[in-house]
Amino acid sequence: MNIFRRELYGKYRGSVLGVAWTLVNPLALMAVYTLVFSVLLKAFQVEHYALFVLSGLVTWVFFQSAVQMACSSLFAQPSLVKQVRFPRHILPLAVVATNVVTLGTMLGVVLIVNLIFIPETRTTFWAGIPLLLPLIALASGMAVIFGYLTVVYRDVEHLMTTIFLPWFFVTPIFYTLDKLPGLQGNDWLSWVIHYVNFVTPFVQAIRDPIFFGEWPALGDVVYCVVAGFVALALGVFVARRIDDQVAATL
Amino acid sequence: MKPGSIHAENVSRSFRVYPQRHVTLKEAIVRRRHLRPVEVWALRDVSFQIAPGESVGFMGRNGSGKTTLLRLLAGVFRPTSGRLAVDGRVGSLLELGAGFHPDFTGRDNIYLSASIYGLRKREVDRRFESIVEFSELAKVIDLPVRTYSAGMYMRLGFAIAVNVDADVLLLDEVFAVGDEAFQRKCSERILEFRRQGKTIAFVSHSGQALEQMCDRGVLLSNGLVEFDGDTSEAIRRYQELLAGDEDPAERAAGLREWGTGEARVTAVALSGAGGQPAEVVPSGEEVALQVTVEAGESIDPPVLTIELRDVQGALLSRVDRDLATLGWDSAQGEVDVRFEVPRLPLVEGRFQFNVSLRDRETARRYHSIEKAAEFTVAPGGEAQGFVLFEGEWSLRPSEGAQSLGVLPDEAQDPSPMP
Repeated sequence: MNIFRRELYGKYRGSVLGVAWTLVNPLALMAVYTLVFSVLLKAFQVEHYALFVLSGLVTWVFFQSAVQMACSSLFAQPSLVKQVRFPRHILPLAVVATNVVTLGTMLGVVLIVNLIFIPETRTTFWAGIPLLLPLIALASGMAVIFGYLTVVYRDVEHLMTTIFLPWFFVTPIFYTLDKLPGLQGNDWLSWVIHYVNFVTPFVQAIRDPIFFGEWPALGDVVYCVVAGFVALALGVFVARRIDDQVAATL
Repeated sequence: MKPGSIHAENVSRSFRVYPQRHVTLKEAIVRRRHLRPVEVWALRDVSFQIAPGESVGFMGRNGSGKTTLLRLLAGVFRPTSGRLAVDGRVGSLLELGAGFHPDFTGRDNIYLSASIYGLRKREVDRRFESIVEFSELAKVIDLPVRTYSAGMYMRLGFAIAVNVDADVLLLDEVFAVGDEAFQRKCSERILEFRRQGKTIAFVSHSGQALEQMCDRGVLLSNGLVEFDGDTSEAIRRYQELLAGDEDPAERAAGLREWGTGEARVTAVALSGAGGQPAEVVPSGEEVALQVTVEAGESIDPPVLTIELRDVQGALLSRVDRDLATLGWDSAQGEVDVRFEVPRLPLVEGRFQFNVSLRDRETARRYHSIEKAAEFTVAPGGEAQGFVLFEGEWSLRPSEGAQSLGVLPDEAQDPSPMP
């Protein structure tokens, strides 16, 4: 708990706006994508396009920043990792916990705005909330894996930075899979983006109830729950496997 | 097992060491074969038992596995093979202030750090006052620790570490904490731990600290237990190990004395003109240095070296004497070697003698003592500086008006210059 406070405080130290800052990044992304894709290119005919992008970004921004920040969580604390007996996996998990605060704030704002502007969501919005659990599980598992891996392989953190940008583009955040002309009749590509990119089901399953006012697809929900468990299990496996090596290497 | 006991049974620990310092994922994939890690055994089959309340000092040269052992005891990592059991709560003073957040106040960091030690908030509440009191930081406890000096930071770390009610205390030469008064307080606190019957595992290079603190000494060499037993015997063997080692960095690690001990310097005394021991000697007066040498078995006559150094350690003079030339007879047991200086060629300042005994043939170091004697030279007369630079002054008319007086005679000969 104290470690979590330490992370949270560290993230927002010296900033007057505190947690409000976390909304700036997604809002800026939303503004840019709305401008480019909806206003300039007129590529997507989605009503409330800005809110649509924002509803997808809720999931993505949490996932990306939790995993990215977790990469250095152990590496940046050599004295804790090397000198103290201490459950080391708490460090990446504290990063995830910090990002859950951000997630909650952002989701709260998005929900309120959506409820005002999109009346259909008023019956379905709650269905998105339990889906945050598998999302947090996914982020936790990956945070632990990459936090540990960064100690062993120093370039993992840079690798992740490089991967996240293209990853974002192949995740249906500023588009939907069923509305892309290029995906018509290109089922395998659609399938890859949907299921190989394991963030897609999370984005869709959470966005459906909170933006489209639809119940999440059963396939997506099942996928999310399984992915959450798999990520956690992998996290535990990696942590067990290299915990000792991490303390010795750093 | 009772809290505070430690059992180590054939404990070994190896590390995989890669040729490069950092291994990148890219290299791991691209050049798989080139990255053969080297298996380095930091500890091999180390076995010992420490009963609750014992204080054990671990010594050994750099790289002998001391630090690895302490980190194993702290539970930072596990043995590669063997069994290691540490019972009770371990208080580790390996790194003070580990995990402090610079922007947190001292108060918050106490809670943070104590939670890393596994204390609940309620337990910290109870100890909070004594931690603050011990650290002497009551006035600044609500300021961020980034505003603390290095000494204050360490003090807070120490205060927390000694207040977590540990059954086993691990110490890694952390006595350089704060000013002298605080250091004394730390030592007292650690001695108090001893009196309370807590187990202490202590790593140090300082023979004095080890002797004072420990009931038992364990000497490690290349990851093996070389000796386990009486502290002074362990220190003696440690000094013996160092004798083969001329690495000054190793010696500077705190040992003032080292050597094999077959012959020893047991006393060094400086006396003034009257023959009484003197701490302050006047410049230019008669002094004598008396070195008492004790030789155990019948060894060949050793060579005695006396070095005169200033307080910074700069060498001013070194004299060697083969004791055979003075009629050495090892059967005598203890002998006094006197070195008499009719006029001390020093002006003023503080100086020290280093003395050492070595074998004439093999240069094997029997015994070396740094700062065997220190003394102050009181100025007399008008000379200034370090060294009494004496000579005869004279003045006479120059011979040969053309000559440059400083040139050697040959150069003054008329040469066949065109």
